[in-house]
Amino acid sequence: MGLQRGVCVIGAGMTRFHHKIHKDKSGRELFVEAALEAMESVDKGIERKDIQALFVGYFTPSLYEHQGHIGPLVTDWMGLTPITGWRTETACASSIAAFMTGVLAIASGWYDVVMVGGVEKMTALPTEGVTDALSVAADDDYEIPAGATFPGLYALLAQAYFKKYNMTWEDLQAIPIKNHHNGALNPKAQFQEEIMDIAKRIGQREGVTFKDPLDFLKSKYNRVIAWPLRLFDCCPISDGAAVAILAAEDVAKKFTDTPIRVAGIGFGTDTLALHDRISLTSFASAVFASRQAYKMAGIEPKDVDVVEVHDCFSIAEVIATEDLGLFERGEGLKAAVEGRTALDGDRPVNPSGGLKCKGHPVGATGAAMIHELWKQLRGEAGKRQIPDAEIGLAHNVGGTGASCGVVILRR
Amino acid sequence: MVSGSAAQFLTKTFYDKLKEGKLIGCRCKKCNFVMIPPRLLCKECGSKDLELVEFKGTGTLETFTVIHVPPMRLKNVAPYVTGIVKLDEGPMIMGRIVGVDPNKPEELRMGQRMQMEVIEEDGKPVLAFKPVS
Ligand SMILES: [Zn+2]
Repeated sequence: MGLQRGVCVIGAGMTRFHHKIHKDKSGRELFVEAALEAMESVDKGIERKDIQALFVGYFTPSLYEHQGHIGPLVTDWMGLTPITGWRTETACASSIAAFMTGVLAIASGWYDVVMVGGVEKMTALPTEGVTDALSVAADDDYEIPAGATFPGLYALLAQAYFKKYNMTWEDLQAIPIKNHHNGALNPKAQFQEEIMDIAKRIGQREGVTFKDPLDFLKSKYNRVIAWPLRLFDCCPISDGAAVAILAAEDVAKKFTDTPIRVAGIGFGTDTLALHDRISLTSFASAVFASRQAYKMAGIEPKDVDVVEVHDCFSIAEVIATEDLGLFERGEGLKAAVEGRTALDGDRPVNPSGGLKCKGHPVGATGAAMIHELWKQLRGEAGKRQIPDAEIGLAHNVGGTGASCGVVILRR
Repeated sequence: MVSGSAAQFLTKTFYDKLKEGKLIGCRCKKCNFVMIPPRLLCKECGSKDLELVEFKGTGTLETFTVIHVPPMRLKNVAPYVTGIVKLDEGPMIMGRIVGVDPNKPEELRMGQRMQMEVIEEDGKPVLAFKPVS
């Protein structure tokens, strides 16, 4: 099992993800911004006429912008009509699906050079509107009537994990603390601030002092969203876009001397409803997708140097590292507490700051993970660079794991 | 036991019965697998040979949360508790948890015995569970 024809990433770009700075831009405009950066990143240059197809992920454009038919909208705004193009939708994993569609378009021999990416313009709605838009990724007949929200569904998973492995919410805070540290080193991140710096800023304003990050995270300034999860357990609402350019291995040298190869891909599904799952501490879709990708790449979990996982909520990062086989069952949170997933740990996870700090414009997230891996594998990740990273893995989840795509890239 | 034809294995049937205070799902006649809600095909073996079953509505609380930031529709209801109950017949289902103080989540514990109850919201029946001692 493997790709019939090798595929490489030859360029990647993204807008900064943010809740304010893109206020006046629409989804199509964000996409163009990321696409132009991706084109500029191609070492030997690329022209628009080189791009033969375009696949774009966007979860709920009809709810945020009252706009459907995103595929031709972005081929048009890129001045690329009549090339092939369509939108892929797998909830928060929409752009990893776009990436895989592009890989397949090349591996099958249909095209040689394809643009893939994703976008989401979320701030067009108020917070409750965003909560409602995101909730269409859950089972509308059986979860939503119970009052489920996405933070709520992940809180159910967190509770199940704490009980099964005798861990606590306090332990879980290792995840946002670590991701804020990484995000502070990423110029594309929505939040570029250590939690302690945020605590000092809020403390000064409110006339209180916090002795350490946990002291702040346990305070009323970190409000409960879905008990036991609080604001800093949740990724933010963001606008943004990310784009990658793919080329067949046999033509990649025309564009760059350091192409990044697509070594493996995998995609799995599961029940939308959490209550239909066999396990509440693992996503079967992620186990399936990652084993498929490892097999295609001919590697094992221990061979991966840098990992970007879908930490839409703090507990999701823990479940991800176990599903990917980076740690044994029940060991993922302990490993995070011990600092093993930090930039200087033995299994660095989310050097970009993850969804928590980089931001999570849902349809753009998978492509943004590819962007981070591309930077890391080329040694261009600056202060957050994992030394000599050769193999990178992206893990992009839709909903509460009803979709999961895994991509392995290799220098 | 409720008998039924394929046309009854629908979400509509589930909510029509819930309105009458009945919690239904289906059992596969071929492999005996029990599912809630009803489906058109057995989730385990793919058989179409199914029968509707009524659950007792009792079980144990598998996991729960308190929603403080609700969807628009439930703005005036929050904070409220929601959770997953493992029914005594085997399968799990999500429901609203009532009869507890949402501001004292520590008083509710996983593994607690639960009994179903039907509440009404916007004129629609909503599956709920309350703790039994
Ligand atoms: Zn069966």
